Amino acid sequence: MMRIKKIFVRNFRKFLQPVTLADLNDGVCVIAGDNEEGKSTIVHAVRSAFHLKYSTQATQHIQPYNSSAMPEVAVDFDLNGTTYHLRKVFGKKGSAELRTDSNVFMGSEAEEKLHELCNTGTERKETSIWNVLWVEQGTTFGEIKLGDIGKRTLQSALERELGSIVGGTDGQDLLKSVNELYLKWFTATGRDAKHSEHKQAEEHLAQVDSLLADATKQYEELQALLEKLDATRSTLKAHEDGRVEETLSKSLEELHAKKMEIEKQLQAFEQAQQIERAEQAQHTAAAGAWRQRSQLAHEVDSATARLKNVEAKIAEATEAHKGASEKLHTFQQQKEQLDAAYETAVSECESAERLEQLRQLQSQIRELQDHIERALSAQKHCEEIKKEGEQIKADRAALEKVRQTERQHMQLDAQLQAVATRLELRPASGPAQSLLLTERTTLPLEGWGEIVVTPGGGDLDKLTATAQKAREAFEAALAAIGVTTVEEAEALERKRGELLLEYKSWQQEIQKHAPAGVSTLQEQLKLLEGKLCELSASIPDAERGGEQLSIFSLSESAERLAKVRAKRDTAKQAVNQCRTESERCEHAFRQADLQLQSLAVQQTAAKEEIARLTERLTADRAQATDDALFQAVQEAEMKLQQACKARMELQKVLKALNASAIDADIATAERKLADTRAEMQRLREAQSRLEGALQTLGKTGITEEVEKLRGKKEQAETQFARASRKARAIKLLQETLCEAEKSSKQQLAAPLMRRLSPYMNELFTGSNFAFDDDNFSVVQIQRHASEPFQALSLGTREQISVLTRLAFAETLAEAGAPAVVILDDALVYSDEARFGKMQDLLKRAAEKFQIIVMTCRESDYRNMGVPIIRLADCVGLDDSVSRVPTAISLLS
Amino acid sequence: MSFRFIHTADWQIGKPFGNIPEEAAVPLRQQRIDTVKKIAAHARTEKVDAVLVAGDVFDSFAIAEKTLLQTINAMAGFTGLWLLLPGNHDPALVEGVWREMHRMELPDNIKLLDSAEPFVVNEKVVVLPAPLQRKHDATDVTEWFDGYKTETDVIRIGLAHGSVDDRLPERGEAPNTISARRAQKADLDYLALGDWHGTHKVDERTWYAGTPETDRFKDNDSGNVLLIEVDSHRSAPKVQKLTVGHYRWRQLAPQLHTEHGSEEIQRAIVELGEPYDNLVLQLTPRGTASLKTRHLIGKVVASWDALVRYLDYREDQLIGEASADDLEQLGSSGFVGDAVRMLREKAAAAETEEEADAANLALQILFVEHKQLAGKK
Repeated sequence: MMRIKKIFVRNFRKFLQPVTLADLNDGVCVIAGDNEEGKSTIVHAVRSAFHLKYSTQATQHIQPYNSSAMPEVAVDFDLNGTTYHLRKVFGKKGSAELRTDSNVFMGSEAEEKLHELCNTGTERKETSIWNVLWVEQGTTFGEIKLGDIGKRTLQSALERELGSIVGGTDGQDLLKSVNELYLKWFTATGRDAKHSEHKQAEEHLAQVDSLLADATKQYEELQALLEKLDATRSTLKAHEDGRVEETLSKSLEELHAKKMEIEKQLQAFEQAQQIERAEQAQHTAAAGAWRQRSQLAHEVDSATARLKNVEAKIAEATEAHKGASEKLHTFQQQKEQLDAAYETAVSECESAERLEQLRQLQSQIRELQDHIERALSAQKHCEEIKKEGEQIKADRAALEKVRQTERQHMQLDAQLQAVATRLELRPASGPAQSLLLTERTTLPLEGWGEIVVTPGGGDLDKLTATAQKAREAFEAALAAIGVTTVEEAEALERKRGELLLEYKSWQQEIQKHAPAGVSTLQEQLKLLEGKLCELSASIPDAERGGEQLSIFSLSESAERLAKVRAKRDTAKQAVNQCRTESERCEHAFRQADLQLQSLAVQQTAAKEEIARLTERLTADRAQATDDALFQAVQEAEMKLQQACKARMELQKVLKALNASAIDADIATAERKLADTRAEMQRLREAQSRLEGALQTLGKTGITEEVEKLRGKKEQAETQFARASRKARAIKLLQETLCEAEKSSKQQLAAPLMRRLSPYMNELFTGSNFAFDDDNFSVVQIQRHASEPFQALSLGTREQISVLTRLAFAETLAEAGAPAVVILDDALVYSDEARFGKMQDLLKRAAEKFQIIVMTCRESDYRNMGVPIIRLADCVGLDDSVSRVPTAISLLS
Repeated sequence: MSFRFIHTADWQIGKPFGNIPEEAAVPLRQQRIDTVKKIAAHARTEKVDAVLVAGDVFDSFAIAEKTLLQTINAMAGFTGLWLLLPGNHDPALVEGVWREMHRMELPDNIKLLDSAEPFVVNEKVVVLPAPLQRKHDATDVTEWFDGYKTETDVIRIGLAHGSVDDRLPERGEAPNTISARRAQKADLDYLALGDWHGTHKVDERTWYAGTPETDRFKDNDSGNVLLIEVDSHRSAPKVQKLTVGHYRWRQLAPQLHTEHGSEEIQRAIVELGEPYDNLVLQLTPRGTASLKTRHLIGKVVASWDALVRYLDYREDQLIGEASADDLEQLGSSGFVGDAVRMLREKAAAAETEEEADAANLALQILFVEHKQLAGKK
């Protein structure tokens, strides 16, 4: 464990006079001083003592203002049980001394020993761990920038704790070397680097490929030319070998000869056609004369046949005419008989219908009479009941009036009773008697005089009068009906109701029999009786058959009438049938008659035509006989056949010669010959051209070039494959190394995070933080949301920075490495609560290592319970002489 | 009267060796012409009547004019007959090297046998050529030999280029097949063949001369010409092999097992014998090697690369495995140790050979970087 015990400064910036801070506390040690009193100068001096070479010539930053005095710093510190006295005087002629009880190191030795003890760095001291642990004023809230040496110091401490993880400088050098190799092959984004072996191999391959493509194209052109030349030569040779031109010339000559032959044959053909046409005319004439003769003879025969036919038809028609006449006569006789029978049936039917009508009239009269009788009887009952009912006054209204007056009367009586004076007489003997007095009453008392009783109340009289009127009204209502009691009135009203019902019943009976009234019925009766008299008078007695009409029942009468009507209808039907048949016979008869007439006309016409045709035929035959005409036809036909045959034979010859195509054939042959000559000329020219071109191309050695480029391409492909293989390996190696390093850093950072976490949790309860494994710094804090370090408030940032340094110092201390934290006004932005917590945390941390706090606010630390040294008290003190005699002697 | 001649083939003059870096390809190309000069010298020394070239005189039918002229010049060392036959590489097309040679004023002793017509050397010797008119010919172009009749005392020599039916260790280059019984059927005294690049005897009277200058890594006895002597018709030909090739094309594929891999390679190359500057070497070590061994092999290869004409080093068959010693050198602690472990795991668990190879090579690079850093310190 390391502890700074005393600091001595002289000739250092603002301190010309000596300053001695002695007896610095083990844990938290507070050095208080006002602004510009020199706290930061003290820190600067301590840093210089550890980091700055004593022999530096750049002393202008540490020399007192406007003075060339040599700055001097001495620090006494304990480290792992040994007390060291370090004193440095800076400048060209400066000195350094590191002294223990047993050893003294001077000059460079002192510097080297100091480095060995505290790992201050030999050259780049600004990157040592102390640069972080000793915080200058106003820099606390910045990001912690751990330098290479500081990082290595911390890593060594962590590796002492965890074992070797990073692999020391060799590992880093190797990684660096691999990264450099990687960057020769790839860009930072992993693409091929511009001048990498792989890229060059790829480009070379593409270049060779392109050259090969060009050469191959030329080679193919050469091949194509060769093939073309080969084909041209073959064609030309085939033409020459096959004597194509000669053959074509010969065939053209043959075609011309053929054409001449065709022309000759055509002439002969035309002559034959003329002969044929003349023979055809002869034949047509002879055949026409023969056809006319034949036609005339045929017409005579046809006319004769037609006459015969007409005559046969006349015989048939005459027979039919006779049959029709006979049949018509028979039907006429039959029709007369049937007409007579029908008339008789009609007469019988009419008689029966009249009788039936008479019977129906009688029946209607009887029925009507019955209705009239019944209606009259009911009318009589109605009148009687009406009369009786009219005598009864107690109708529903009267009864209601009685009831109403009774109720009024009863109510008023009750009221009167209620206000009446009750007088009870109770004689000594005899029954008691009660009187109810509703009016002034004088009661005579025998033997005694009289008592006048006047019931109380002014309204009694009015009430009595009203009651009297009500009673009278009641009695008047009863009297109006003619009764004395209500019951009687009700009995009378009931009786009146019964009579009314009976009256309605009889009225319905009248309505049933005489809905239009009895008088109407009586008028109808008279009318029917008149009709009956008329009908009776129209029926002869004979028709009645001596029988009374009344003896026929309704059904018998209807049956009789139906029979008579059926008989009449049957007779009518027979008459109609007979008439139809008769009409049909008559029509047939007329038709036969007309046909006979027509046939007679035809017979006459036929006879006339036969005569005319026979006359004409006879005249023609006198000029030329039938045989002569027939002979002429046969001779003409034979000649025509001969001419036709001659013409067809010539036609066949022409067809065989294909006369129509000869001109086209000649044209084709001429064209072929011309084409062939042109083609051969073209081929000869082409051959000459191709030979020239090939001779030139062939000498360029293009096939050698193609082969060479093919080989080069193969070589380039191999190179590219090798480069690709190497590129893959380098990439894999770099990625794997980086991944391993990252993982190792994560492992390394874990103990730091473990130490930092309790501090962070104490200050920022419930928060998490992200740690940069490379730089060992908090980069983000996660509370409600993720907040990057730079986005945090100055107060929070300075708190996190101080806590991180505490974790560093704790790590170093636990690994046995020197660790002292110096904070120069480091917590100036913290609020009161956080400041209090930070003080607690500082105290807790200071149990493991020393923390020196410089402050301008002494009061803030008074309650912390740690010693406070006032800088002002230390200025001017110089105890260095007594404590470090060697140094003094050196300086002097 | 005997007929004494050199049988050669497959000169393939103008072969570009494009798959070999230009600085090595140039001398290889030049050597093919120089070897023709050597053949001319042998012909002169052996006092032969003729040199018969059985096809593929040139690498292609359209050879550069300069190459053609160099070839003709190379033949000037022998003033006897040179009988040149077109092969599948340089077929006698309608236009090309053969027509060009016809147009040139060739020396009288150089004869172009580019049509299937007998070449009468003298009244007792006739050469029957079977030139290829195209790269691939579906027919047996030697068939006409059977029908060509000569006097009974005339020596009949066939000259053709193609693959003899089923009589080669592997099939020849082109599908131009030649009956294995052609010499017998056509009553030939000798059938001089080209196409197969190694010297190969088909039967007593049928031989492939092979290419006089080796041009590939196949170990098939190339780099020779044949000296033939036929005493008379139907007498057995005397065949003598003359080595004329300059470059030695060798393939080495040592199987490495121990940490002495670099030494094994060194020994294998030394065993090939001097001179080393005519070696065209393909080195494909196989097996496994530690990171350190690979590092050392790299150094050995680099030193030999400067000695031989061309060294084609292929390390893809060599599996790198980090040994305990490698790991110790790299350091097993710290993140570098972690990275080494991760790479080894990746190599072991890789699903593809490419992934495993990348991880192994990454280890190798890490090792080299480490060694370089250590060297600096």
